Amino acid sequence: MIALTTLKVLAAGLAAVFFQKNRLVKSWAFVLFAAVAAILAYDFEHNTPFEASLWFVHWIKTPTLNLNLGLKTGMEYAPFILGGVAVLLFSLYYNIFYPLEKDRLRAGGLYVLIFVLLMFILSAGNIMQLFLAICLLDILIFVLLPELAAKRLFLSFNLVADVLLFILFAFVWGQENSLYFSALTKYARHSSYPLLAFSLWIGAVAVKCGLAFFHNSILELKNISFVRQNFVATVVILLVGPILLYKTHALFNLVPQGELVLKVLAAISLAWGLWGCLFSDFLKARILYFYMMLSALFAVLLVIDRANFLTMLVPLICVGLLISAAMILPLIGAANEPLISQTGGFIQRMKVSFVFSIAVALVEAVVLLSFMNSLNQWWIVAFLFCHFIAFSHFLGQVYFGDVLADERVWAIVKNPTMFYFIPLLFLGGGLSTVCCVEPIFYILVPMAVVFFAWQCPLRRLGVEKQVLIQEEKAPVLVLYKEIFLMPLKFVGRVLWITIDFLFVERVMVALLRRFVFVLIRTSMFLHKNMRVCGWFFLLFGLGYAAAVFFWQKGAF
Amino acid sequence: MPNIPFILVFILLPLCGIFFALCSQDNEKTKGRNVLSVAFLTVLVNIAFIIFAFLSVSSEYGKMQLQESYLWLKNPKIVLSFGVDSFSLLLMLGIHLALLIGIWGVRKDYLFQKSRMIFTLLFLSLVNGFLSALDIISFFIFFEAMLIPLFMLIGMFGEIKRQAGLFRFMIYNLCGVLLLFSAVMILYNHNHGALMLNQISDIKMGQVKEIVIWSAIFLAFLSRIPIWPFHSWVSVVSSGIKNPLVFIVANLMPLSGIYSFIRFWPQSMPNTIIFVVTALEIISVISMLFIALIGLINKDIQYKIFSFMTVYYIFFLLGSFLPTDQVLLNVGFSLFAFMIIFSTLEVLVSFQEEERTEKNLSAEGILCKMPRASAIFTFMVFAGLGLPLSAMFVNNFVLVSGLLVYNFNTAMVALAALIFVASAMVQELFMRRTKVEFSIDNEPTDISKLDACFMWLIAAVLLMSLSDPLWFMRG
Amino acid sequence: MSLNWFALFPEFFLVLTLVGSVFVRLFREKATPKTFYTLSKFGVAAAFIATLIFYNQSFWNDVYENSLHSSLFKIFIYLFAAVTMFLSAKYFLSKDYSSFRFYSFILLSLLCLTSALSAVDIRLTVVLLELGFLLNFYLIRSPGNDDETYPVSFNFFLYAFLWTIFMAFAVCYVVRIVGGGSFEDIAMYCKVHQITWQLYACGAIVLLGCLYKLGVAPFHFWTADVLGAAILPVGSYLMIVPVFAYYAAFVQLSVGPLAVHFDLLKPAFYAFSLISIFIGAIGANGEINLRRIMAYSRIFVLGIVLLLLSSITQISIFSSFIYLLVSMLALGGVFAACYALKNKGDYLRRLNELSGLAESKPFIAAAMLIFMVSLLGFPPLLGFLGMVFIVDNLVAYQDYVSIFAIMLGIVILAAAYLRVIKTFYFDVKRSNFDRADRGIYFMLLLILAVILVFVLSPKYLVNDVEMALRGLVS
Repeated sequence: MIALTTLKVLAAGLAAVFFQKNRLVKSWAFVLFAAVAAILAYDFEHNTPFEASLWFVHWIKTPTLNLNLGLKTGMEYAPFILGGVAVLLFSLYYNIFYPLEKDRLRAGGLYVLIFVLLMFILSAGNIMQLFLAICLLDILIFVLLPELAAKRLFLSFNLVADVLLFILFAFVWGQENSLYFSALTKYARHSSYPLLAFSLWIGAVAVKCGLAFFHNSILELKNISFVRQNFVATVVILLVGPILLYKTHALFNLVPQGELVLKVLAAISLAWGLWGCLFSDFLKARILYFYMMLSALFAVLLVIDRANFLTMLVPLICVGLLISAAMILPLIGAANEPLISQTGGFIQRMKVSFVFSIAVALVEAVVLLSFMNSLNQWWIVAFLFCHFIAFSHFLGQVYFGDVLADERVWAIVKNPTMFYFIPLLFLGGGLSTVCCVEPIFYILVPMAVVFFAWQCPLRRLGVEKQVLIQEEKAPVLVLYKEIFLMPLKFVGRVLWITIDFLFVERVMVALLRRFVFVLIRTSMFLHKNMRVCGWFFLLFGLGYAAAVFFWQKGAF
Repeated sequence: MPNIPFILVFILLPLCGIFFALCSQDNEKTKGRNVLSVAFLTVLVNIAFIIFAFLSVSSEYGKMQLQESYLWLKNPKIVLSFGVDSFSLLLMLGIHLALLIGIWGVRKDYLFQKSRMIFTLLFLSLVNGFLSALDIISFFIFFEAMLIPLFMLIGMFGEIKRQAGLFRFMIYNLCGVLLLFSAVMILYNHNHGALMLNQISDIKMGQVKEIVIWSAIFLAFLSRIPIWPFHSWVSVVSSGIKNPLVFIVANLMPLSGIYSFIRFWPQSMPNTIIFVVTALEIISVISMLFIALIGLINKDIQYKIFSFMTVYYIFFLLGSFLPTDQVLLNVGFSLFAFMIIFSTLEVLVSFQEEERTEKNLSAEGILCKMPRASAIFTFMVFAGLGLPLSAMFVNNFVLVSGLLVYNFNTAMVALAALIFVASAMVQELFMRRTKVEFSIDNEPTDISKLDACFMWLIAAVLLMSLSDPLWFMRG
Repeated sequence: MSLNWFALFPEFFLVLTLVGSVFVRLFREKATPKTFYTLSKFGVAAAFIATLIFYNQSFWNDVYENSLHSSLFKIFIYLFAAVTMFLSAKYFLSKDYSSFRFYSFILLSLLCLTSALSAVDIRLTVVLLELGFLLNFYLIRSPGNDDETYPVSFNFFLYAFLWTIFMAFAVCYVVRIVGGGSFEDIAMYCKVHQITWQLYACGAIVLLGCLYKLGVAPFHFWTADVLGAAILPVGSYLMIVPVFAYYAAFVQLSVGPLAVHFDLLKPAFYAFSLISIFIGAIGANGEINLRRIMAYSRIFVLGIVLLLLSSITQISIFSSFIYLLVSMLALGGVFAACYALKNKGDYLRRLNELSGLAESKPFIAAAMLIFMVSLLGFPPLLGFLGMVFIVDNLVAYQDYVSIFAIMLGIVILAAAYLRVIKTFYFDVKRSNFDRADRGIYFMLLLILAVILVFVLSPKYLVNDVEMALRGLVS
């Protein structure tokens, strides 16, 4: 059944990608959304993702490799499937209305295709399928991204991650001669190069999860439209990364401090995300920093509270979508003003947006607090605290304070259309019914958010004006260029000059050429004058023959 | 299945194509279209025969089928034996597709089209003979013979600047060929008659003789591959060629070296020459690293493509050194996809370079105004990097795995080299896709829809090979 | 003693043709260049047929005997001579020169050379060989390129005459010591008696004289000058035809009367062969005249031939002959193609004049390419067949040094040929070429067809030659 669903969805996606329409684009985008929603609703009604089902096809049958490609559903997969569905429908919905989206139908089609790949990643029963789907997903995202800078950064990081995974899996297969996930457990126990393997794995996971030092590929998405940015960010760092971590978690046992390393990375990511959320001038960048923080939380929850993680996944993803939807409202309302420093005082014209934002903050708190337990409490608290500060500061900068937007922008600031609030209502309402906490929180949280937004302590301290970040350079790339690539290019040049040019060309080849030249010249000289050289050759020949005779006869 | 002498067909069909090409009318009016059609059709028909032959063979590596023998000389007795397995058929198919792409790439190049097609078809015929040779004499005949059309193609149509480089290249190859000839004749004489390739390792010789023979054989094969420190002689020629078809032909030559290694490599290595294997591995990795580094610093895209190809060739060569025949089919699958990828890349690059030269544009941003070319170029670069768009994806994985188990250090150096060339290609891709403003009347022209359709068809073949290049043999 | 006159029929036909030519020259007013060719071709054809029929008939025992192998060599001489004469007619027609001198001397030369092969008396052999060689002086002096040919012919005559004196002296001494001139007598004498240095010297002179006539180093010094300077018909004749005769004579003398001398001279022959290989290969690289390049190629080829002949066995003679044959076929092909290289009536020979030949004469250029590649021993051409025989033979004797020398020589020679190919194919056309006679194309096609047939089915060449050469070494 999963195969049929996937096939239908795939067909819808391919149709959207290849059959372009230049007129009634929004209508076609809506048709796509409706079709996909209908397919999923109908199929999940008859066969929910919680019911176990399996479909597979023989893929590779060679003497060295025997693999199948398959799709699965079941209790273990359902949260990820539902998470993917949420992201897909959210993105397809926004794709209809978001004003700055060009090429809606093609983008929508690509979202669907990426979702299909996500299903393959999730259903992977062997390492090869996982790896194949991840690589294909990277390619499709590359196609989806319209900006070259975003493509370049995304591809650079993810290609490196793919290479790291490639080498790691090659190690595993070489040693264990199996590509099933059970081989990872065995490999972690008996690895010949545990430190190297762990480094490869943690590097790949860090990139895929968008953790600190490896987040710039996601950060660069700030220059593209919100819908695409949001879709890519959620799919990659909230779904693919965690799935990868979930399926390969056995590799934590490669080194004793494996889990600690991830926790440290997650902590740094949280702090980095907070810093970015506070000080980035780009509104869309702040959304991405928020996702970075959320991804860090996901990573850490997978390590410390794996059993509950699946239960938390869908609500947390929905929280992520809600937050991003709330944060984008000012941008939509202000006709795509991307800089936070050009906002301020928007509450005068966007009260509804502000109220919804508060509601979203409340939902976030409720969801997180409801999933808090003894294992994850500190991390959830830390996350809540950091995001509370960041979100309230954001709201304070945008909705309160002096109006910093220029006149043209201020003239058109207003609440976005109601279509933008429907998902907020739908998701928020749904989450609220599922999760619940102490009633006091329902009052405390909104009040705290409003208070901190209104007061905006950081602005009062005068910190933000000095620190607003315009652009963040990827430290890994800087490291790569200065410490790795430049010396490498230098070495390459030196080698080329010394060996290719000096040794081979100037010494070896020149010597050979000289030698041949001397031989030819000698020959030409000897054959110049027949009358003279004839005597020389004649006498030489006769003399040699005579010498041979006497030598043979032992005269010498 | 009718009893068709497939090998004979593979070798003779291009020669028939030469005959028809010679007879075809080639003047101002036809502009080389007739001879191009003849060449194109010849290659297509041969491809059809190859696919037909696939249906008659089993997919195992090493099991030679469709064997044919011809008595050439009675005294000394020389019987020319031919046969194929799925590996050689795969390579044959890959070469045919690569040349088909190359022919497509030169279809608008009217000057001396007839000579070009004739030499190309001759090369194809000789390569088919080479890939199907089963005994050492026929192997040698075709190994040497393909140098002539190669030399003519490069000299006449390659437009290389330094002809001295071409001479050195040919002399270098000739030295290798003559070494092989000496070794082959000594083996032939030792065996008192014809010797099949898979029986060479069974011959018992004196220690010194064994070392000399095997060294000569391996040196001969290495002369086809741009191995350090002789790589510059090959690179000057290979990377300097402007014509896409000739570039493809020239860069198919290392394949003959690799194939030779694979066929000659003994099942069990005699103890006397174990050290030769180590030396070969060391030279291979040094060459890979060296050429990859130079590819990284070199700004010329032709050199980047050359270094990309060379590194991959040596990588496949290392794969063929692994102490198991099981991976050789994987090498074959990878090579099949690899040949198609680099041919398409080269055709696209030559198109861009032509536009650049004609309109005096820089390479930076040229693809931003060529969406069709850009899409295909990106696809091919990704496929060449080993992403899951072609058979290289899975099969490279198998090879890397094998290498890591066999020799960790070699594998890591090889991987480093592969990463360097991948970086170089990705850098080039992004440089060409950078958004640049061109004046309206001086914008680069995109490839035609027909060209794009053809190349997407090729891309589809690559995608189908992702699962299994021999997908048509299933069931 | 009865004389079998039938055995002399080939020679008779040649004489008849010669006499007929003289009469035509004297008494016919309008004698075109083709007239003498027509006469000569019939004469040669008749001689060829007569040789085939009377291949084992002897005229005079111990003086003049035909055998299977001597007839074989004669057949090839007639065949190549016929090709040369056919092509030469085109030359004389285009130049509108009288061809009487040329054809008559050719016939004389053929007469001397073929007769020398049948002679089994050393006196007769040497006289005929010397005569045949001295006649070349008049051939070289054929009008058409007097500035170059006159000094060359003078130098040629100087050394040829010197050798004639040496040979005459040597033969006289040998006959005086042995008491007879037949091969059998000399062979018997040398076997039975101790060979003195004087006898050795005389035998050596005779053998070295053959090498001189072949143009093997270090006696090669006249080859390039003569073949480079002489007019094309003379050059093409001297390049190919006499080689078979002197080769055959050398072999016959080495296995027969002078076998003992040959054994003693083996190291010298070995050294000379290696020197020839290198001089031929290196010399070709220093030349810009196409015919001189081919002349050096001939020295190279003959060096390899002599290398094999150093171990004078059945197999080595057979291998060397096959190699010689395929090489001469290729060289002949090159010279045949040279007949098509004309600009405003002048026959071109310098490489810079032949730039871009492939552009205007693709078939000629292609033929040249095939012949040169064949000379290098490239498969699948005929030269490879020769190379297989050579190397197989050397490997059997474990003579790896020689194999190395040959391979090195091929590499060096290849550099010269690549230069030529580059000139034809890669360089820009500088001059136009005149239309070539259809006969030249026909001849080239014929040579290529022969090469193709022998490549596909070498048995047609190899089996018969092997049979004919069997028994040469008893």
